Amino acid sequence: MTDKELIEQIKNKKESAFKELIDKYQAMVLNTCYSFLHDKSNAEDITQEVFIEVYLSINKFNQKAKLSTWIYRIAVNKSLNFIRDNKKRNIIKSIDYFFTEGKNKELQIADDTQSGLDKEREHKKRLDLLHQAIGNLKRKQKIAFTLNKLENQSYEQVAEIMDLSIPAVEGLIHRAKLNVQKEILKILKKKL
Amino acid sequence: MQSCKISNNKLIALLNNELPAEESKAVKEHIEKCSRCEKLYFELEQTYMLISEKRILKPNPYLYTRIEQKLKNIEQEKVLRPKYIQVLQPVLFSFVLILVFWGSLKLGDTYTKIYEQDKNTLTYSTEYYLNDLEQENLELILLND
Ligand SMILES: [Zn+2]
Repeated sequence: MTDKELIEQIKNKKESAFKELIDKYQAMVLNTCYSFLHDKSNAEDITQEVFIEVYLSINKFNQKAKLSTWIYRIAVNKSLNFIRDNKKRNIIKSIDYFFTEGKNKELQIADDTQSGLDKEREHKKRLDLLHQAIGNLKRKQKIAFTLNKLENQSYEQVAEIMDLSIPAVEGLIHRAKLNVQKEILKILKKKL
Repeated sequence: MQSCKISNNKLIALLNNELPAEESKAVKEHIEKCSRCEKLYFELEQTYMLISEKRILKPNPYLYTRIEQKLKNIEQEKVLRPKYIQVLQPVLFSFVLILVFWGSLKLGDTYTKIYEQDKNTLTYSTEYYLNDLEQENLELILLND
């Protein structure tokens, strides 16, 4: 079934069409949410909400837009709203993280003598640091950067999802990249 | 040797290959001699590199069932809501009624008190007034005579 047919059938409350739509887009939605949330269980919860929203507001869907673009937008908005609503909790978590971890210990450069577990721990910490730096970006930079760098969306696709021109997206991603690096360096300096 | 601060500011540009050859050489020389800056550069590179690390999550096999259940709950809530209202409305109505009754009692109380006070001051001042007028009138009459 084409997207157009799917939409028509969902509008007519045909459950099998809705199931088909979920099968078609669930991996895309889940991975997009995960790119923003960095947590599997939260990403799964938000994925459910995205499809519920798709189902409930299918009548508002503008046929001129691509279905995937519309679903992407819902996924991005739901993810960012979730982050906003949980910000307080996350701040406490990250403060906690910095106070409980040793200052120099955690930044030991991985070498051959380290066990696999240590390397895994090191990797996890670097990943947390990267996600924290991305998390501190301004909203538009965060969306463009995440979709392009983590979701591997082309500039054209990002421009379509964000309803911006391609040069605008390029500008956002360039600034985001520098800001992420700046932020990483800032946090590293505090810890080293 | 270049200072740590100057080098620090150029680490990002170095990472992105955006430094002119001469500056790039100077920063690299500093990094070789300064272990702290070397560590910073290494960590920055290692951390930023992770951006291209690809992980693909597999969707949960129960996704559709869960969404179906949630949608049913939403539908049910819509059906149930009128029942809530049926029960809640009379309760709310009687509550408002009691509130109005109690409120009017309280209001009546205060107004009686205000009235009592007003009456006292009023009589007082009126008496004065009347007396003054009377006296004045009497004097005027006498004077006229
Ligand atoms: Zn240095």
